[in-house]
Amino acid sequence: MSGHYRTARAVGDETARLERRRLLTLFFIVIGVVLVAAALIAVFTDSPEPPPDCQPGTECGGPPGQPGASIAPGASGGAIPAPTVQPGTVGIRAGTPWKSTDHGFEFEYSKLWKVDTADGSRVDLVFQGRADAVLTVASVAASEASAEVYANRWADTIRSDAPDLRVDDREKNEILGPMIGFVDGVGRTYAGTWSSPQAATRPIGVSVISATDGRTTVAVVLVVWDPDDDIASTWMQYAVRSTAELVLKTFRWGPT
Amino acid sequence: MKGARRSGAYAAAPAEGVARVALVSTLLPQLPAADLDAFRFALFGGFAVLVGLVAIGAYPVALVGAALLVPALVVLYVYSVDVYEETPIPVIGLTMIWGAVWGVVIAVAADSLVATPRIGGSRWGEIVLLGVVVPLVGLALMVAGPLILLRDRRYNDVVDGASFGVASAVSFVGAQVIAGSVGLFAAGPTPVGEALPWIARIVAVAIALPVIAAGAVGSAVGAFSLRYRAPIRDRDALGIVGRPAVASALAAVLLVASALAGYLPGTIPGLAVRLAIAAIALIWLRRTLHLGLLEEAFEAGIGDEITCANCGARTPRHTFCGNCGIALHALPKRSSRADEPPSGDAAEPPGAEPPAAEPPAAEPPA
Repeated sequence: MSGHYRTARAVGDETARLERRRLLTLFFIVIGVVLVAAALIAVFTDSPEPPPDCQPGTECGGPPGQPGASIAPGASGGAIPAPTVQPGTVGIRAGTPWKSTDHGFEFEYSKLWKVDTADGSRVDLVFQGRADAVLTVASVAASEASAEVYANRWADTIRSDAPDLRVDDREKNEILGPMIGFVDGVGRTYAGTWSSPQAATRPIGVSVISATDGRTTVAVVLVVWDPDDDIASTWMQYAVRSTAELVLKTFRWGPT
Repeated sequence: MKGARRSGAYAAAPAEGVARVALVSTLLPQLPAADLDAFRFALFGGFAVLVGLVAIGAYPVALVGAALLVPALVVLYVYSVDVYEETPIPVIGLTMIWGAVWGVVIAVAADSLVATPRIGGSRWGEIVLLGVVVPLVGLALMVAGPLILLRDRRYNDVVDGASFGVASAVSFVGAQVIAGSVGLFAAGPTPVGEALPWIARIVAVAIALPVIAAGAVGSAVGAFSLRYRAPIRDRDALGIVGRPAVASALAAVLLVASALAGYLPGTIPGLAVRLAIAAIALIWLRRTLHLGLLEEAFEAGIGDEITCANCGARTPRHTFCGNCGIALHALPKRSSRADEPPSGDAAEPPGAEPPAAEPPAAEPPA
């Protein structure tokens, strides 16, 4: 193929079609309209705050816990003293069991979760419903990390993928009475965004509960993508977290 | 030729060197100097607005603005300098709309194909898919639209090819970011998150990612243009990187490296690597445009005296302005002029080899 240049059109005396002031006006109008439209979309797609579960003057249920044992999200109360675990404490067998070969604890998970990877001290469960979520149950020797330290470590791990991760102090995501296997612990919620290499950015909600029985420190970490999406008259993070509670309720610490 | 005689002067903006990392004069090469300033002001003014939005926590709005900043400038540029000449619909359709549509498709496909990431563990499957496969498929799609346009003999020079590649690439990247981030809007206008990492993200989305894609795709399409549309003797002007296969491979390396940089831990290392890749891509595109303009200069005859749109001085209608040294081909077109009686060298029949002229004074870089 022999080509030729279109030199006949290289006139050189033509100025740009848009005069500078007009160009800048047009540009900032276009950008302004887009930004306002984006802001309106964000406002109108924002999920409304859910009504409180417990109205004043009514008898309310709630997660089990001991007075003063609850730790609000974001609170930093220092290391949690190791509680005494009553021998023979068992949960309700209501799901598929999983047992740690390294630390002896075990728990059950519902059919909405499926084991992705596992080793002797950690298991990653992937949500099987209409949401993207990962539930990790991991453990270390108590001498290696307190509940507080282990919770912080997991927040840092997630922060490496979601650098804008920050404590989520919204009341709707608060963890009430954080405990694992009836052992009080540290409970925190975080929010941030998870970005792909192509900069596709999705919000995440993170719930971390960590507790120790004096020999083993365990963290239950739940990451939910698009946590504020509406689902079944509630929001995604709440719905997914509800399905993960079985892990906490059926958790049995290893033999002493 | 004061400007162009300076060794290493960039043919499309003689006041700047070829090896300079200059964003506006590279992505938008056909602008006169005065208009370059207006586009620079728009770019940096727009970016300042985005930083302000991040400062008040309006992350979703800032992300959309970042994704559209460079594409919006390119749209205005394409219109302002009349890149599409008499055929706006095919040119806009096969560059910006083509890129935007495929950007959305790839974003949706990637989202549905990637499994839920494992926290703090091995993610090799995801890395291969998003770090290698998606950039390579994206490159093929970004290049394909402009290549269809190059079949038209009106668009047979390197500047056109590179401009089409740039338009396709920035539209693809912008659409990909927005389509992949729609879930962010459900978190409200001011979702929870630290601001500083968002500044880095806005820099990546507004500057690094579109510049890398524009440099890689623009240079690759420019190489195709030179190889298959230029006279045979000019086809090696860009050296080995002017060969379409090599240029495509280099473009692929840049895009894959940029994607893999997204997996580097921490905010700053990934951004720094991407900005470095963007600088490489920008200089490559700049060199492609520069050499393309120089090669075309060998083809042109001398015509009537005109007023240079860049500096305002009188100069013969030729290849470079005798005063400022800009390549006259790197100035706005005007489709309406096609109806006017041509003068000087403008009367050549299509396909004819123009008479040889004295070579331009600008020295091509080694």
